[in-house]
Amino acid sequence: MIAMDIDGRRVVTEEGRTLLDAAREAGIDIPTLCHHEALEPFGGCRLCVVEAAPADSRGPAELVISCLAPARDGLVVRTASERVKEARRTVLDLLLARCPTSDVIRRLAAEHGVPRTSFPESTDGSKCILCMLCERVCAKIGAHAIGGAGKSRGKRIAAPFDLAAEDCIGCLACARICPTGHIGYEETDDERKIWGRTFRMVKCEVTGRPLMTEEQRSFEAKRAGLPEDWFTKCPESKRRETAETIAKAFEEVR
Amino acid sequence: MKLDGREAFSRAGEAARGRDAGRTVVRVCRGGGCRGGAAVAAAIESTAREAGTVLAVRSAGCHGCCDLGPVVTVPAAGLFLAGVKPADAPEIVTKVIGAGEVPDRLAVKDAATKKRFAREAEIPFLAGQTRIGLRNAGRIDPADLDDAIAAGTYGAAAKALTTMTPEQVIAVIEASGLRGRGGAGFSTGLKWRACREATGDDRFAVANGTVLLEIDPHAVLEGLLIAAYAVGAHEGFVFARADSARAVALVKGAIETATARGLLGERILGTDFSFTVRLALGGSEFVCGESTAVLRAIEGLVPEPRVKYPRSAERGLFGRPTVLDNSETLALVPVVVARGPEEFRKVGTAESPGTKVLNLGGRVRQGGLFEVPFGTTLRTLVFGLGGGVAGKRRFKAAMVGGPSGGILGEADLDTPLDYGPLAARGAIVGSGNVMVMDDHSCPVDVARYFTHSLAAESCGKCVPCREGLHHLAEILTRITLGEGTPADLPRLRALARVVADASLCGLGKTAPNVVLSTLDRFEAEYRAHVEDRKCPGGVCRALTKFEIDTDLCEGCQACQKVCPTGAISGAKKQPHRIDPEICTACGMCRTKCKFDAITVV
Amino acid sequence: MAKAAVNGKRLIVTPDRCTSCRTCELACSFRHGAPNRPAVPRLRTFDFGGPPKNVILTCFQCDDAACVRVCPVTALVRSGETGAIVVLERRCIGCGSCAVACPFGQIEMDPVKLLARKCDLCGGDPACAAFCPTKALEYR
Repeated sequence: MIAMDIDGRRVVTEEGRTLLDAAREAGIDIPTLCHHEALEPFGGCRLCVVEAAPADSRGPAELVISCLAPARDGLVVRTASERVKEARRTVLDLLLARCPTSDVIRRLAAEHGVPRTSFPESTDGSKCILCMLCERVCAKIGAHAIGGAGKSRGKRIAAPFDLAAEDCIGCLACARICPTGHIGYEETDDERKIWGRTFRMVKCEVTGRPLMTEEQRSFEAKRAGLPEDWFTKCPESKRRETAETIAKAFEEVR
Repeated sequence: MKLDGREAFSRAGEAARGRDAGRTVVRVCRGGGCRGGAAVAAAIESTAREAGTVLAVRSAGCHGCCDLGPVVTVPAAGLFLAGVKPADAPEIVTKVIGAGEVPDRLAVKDAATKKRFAREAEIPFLAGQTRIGLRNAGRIDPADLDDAIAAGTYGAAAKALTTMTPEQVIAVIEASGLRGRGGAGFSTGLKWRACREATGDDRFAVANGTVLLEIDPHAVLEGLLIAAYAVGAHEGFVFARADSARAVALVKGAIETATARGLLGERILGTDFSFTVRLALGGSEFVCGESTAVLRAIEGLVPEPRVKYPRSAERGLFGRPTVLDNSETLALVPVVVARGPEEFRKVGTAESPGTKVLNLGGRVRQGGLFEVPFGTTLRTLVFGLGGGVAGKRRFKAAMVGGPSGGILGEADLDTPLDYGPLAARGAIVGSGNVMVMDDHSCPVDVARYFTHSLAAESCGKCVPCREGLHHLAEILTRITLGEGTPADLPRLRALARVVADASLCGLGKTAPNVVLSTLDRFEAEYRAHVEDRKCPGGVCRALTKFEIDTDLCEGCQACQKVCPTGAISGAKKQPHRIDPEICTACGMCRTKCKFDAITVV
Repeated sequence: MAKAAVNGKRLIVTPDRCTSCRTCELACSFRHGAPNRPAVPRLRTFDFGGPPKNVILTCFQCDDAACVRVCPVTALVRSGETGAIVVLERRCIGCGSCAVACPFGQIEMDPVKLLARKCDLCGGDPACAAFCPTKALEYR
């Protein structure tokens, strides 16, 4: 058991938890942009920085990244000190300059006292904040279809060599996890277009509703060790079918 | 043939030392920066053959003073000849080797006193150094294992492997107070202990950093072997920049030859300890100075640092406990093991024992590699060993610690070169680069240049470094173009502070040093740029106007000859004049004027 | 079907008693929704001609559940307390694989949150059973 002082409150947590985990469990909000519980902490957006120092420390507190810093017994943590707020404001100011058209960033920045950026705004219209959630979720799923290309401010998310993403399964996990809606796709009942690829949709045998792409079906079936024809119907059809089976079974028993 | 024990190893040492018995050894430097060494060696060889003189002409690695190359040494006589050309071969064979006489032009001219010295032990900038890590620089052929063995390399490893427990090795390193020379200065002993005590079946030992790899690769491999033995690693890597072709070739050869002789690989020196080393090539990204980025590069991933929870010693390369040491640190390890921690602590400071290899450059008379004890002052380095500021100019500033170091001014000249004192003044030990600037430089432009470069070297992972350095560079660029405002100065400072405070890795944390340290020391010059629209250093072209001081001008026309726009007029022996309409303030005239007549208005 | 839970209780369905009054669906909606904004129910009743022919369908909390097997991010985990397979919403990436994998149609994707939703036995106090007027649903 670990006991810490977070913002003057005693917070108890377990070994192996991060400062962010502990704070959130205690209902203390720390903003994040590149964090997702399905993925390994990344530490890129720097929004979740907090000040931390051991209780007996005489020196200045350290500015640490709460999504990665492990909880330690006796730690004194400040999640909203002036130093922390200054760092967060600057990060949001910088992100707002990069993505002035992103509603998510605009709202978050405004909430932190940055109504407009103090830096020259980018004019490329990109909403990508390079949080890499898309790359990381794609890797987590096992597709490894997209990733960061280039470095510095020219870094961007791309398929290898900017060609159609060969390993993409069209699952849209990247687009869905993207906090700013930067990753675009097109979709009809028959097909889905993303990362330069066009995927055919598997449709519900009963209702004809699109379920997933053919590639996603193969991929997921293989991972789960299930036959491909396991994935054939929409939940609603399966519910009705199950209910009918049960009703029939009871009929026969009676 | 494999050396299967300490006895075989000492016999090999004797054989290597005795192989030139009865012959005079002449070494010609073939360092990465030297040109013409091969031709000089060939000329000396053929001249000696014709004269019937028995010589062993051998190569030498870099001496660390490439402006004096090619260098020829006669170790037995302690002679050191600089700037040798093939045509000098007859004189070298007959006079130098034959009679011990060195013609003046081949002796080294001391930058400060203009005196000439031919004995290595007397050359001030060499004699003033304490070469421990660079003990073999210029004294051995880095491509020749026998040279290394003759110089005692692998002796400390043999001692450690056959007479010490890993625990004892770590205790010795801890007692020596050795700190990592890669930049952060973390205790090497503590790091090794953490790795040894970390849970995991397998471990890795990794070396990075190019300079020592080119000068003395076997010393680095020996240090790496000792590190591996201490932490219990059986696999290791030497990480080298792929574009550093010389280092790559030398390390590759060194690993092969050392493995063939049983100094690396299976059952080293007949003991039970095995350690296989492989060469890992990476790009030349600046961020590869960051240990976690290096490990990712070895794993075949994009070199991006990660937050160090947990530390690499606990979970590093491929998720296993890993020690990563700079090649300079590793080259010192055998010295600590061989001579003992007390001996090592005799130089340097209590906090930072030993020496640091510094790379002195910029506007200084004698540049190159200088290995000095920690605690040596900046003044001793620049004005003592470096011979002072080049030309007739005055010292203005020195950038200490490499591109992400800080700019120190005249008031800081007595700062001891050590982690603590440098950090207190906004600089770092960092890469050990010290770049001297004279009074014709502009701190604002220097800040702009390095911030711009570092912004481009940001890996792009974290926001403050990626976006913050970009905007710092943009603001600085505007100021140097004369488009800055007084409000830019507090903004620069505030942004630089957050970038330093909130960035993920050492690159982002140290990159603002140049901005903050110049703002601290040269605020008046920043103000001149944004308030008076002037660059006092005469560097920022948009803010600079040159005039010729007619009292000082001798009318030599040197400036007229170099002016690329033909802006300077005036007859010989008559005062010259610069036409402000044509002048682009490139500053070429100022570099040529011997009378300091070109002034900034 | 479900493994014995720590609390030793199960959701027991007796379809003969179901009048298809749909109180269970309503209770589920209110329990999982916000005030004044009921959610889509996670269990359904089917009227095949009135009692005793009706069917109540909710998650079977399968032992070797296809949804758990297919989830790429382990966002579906079994609660030790209730034995229910629950969606960890902060971990779910909304890929929808579980919804297509469940053979009984018991997982749907929330169209607003874009996350999977399913029966979680209300953490050990299922509203459907609490409100069922005929004890067609019991939690004991």
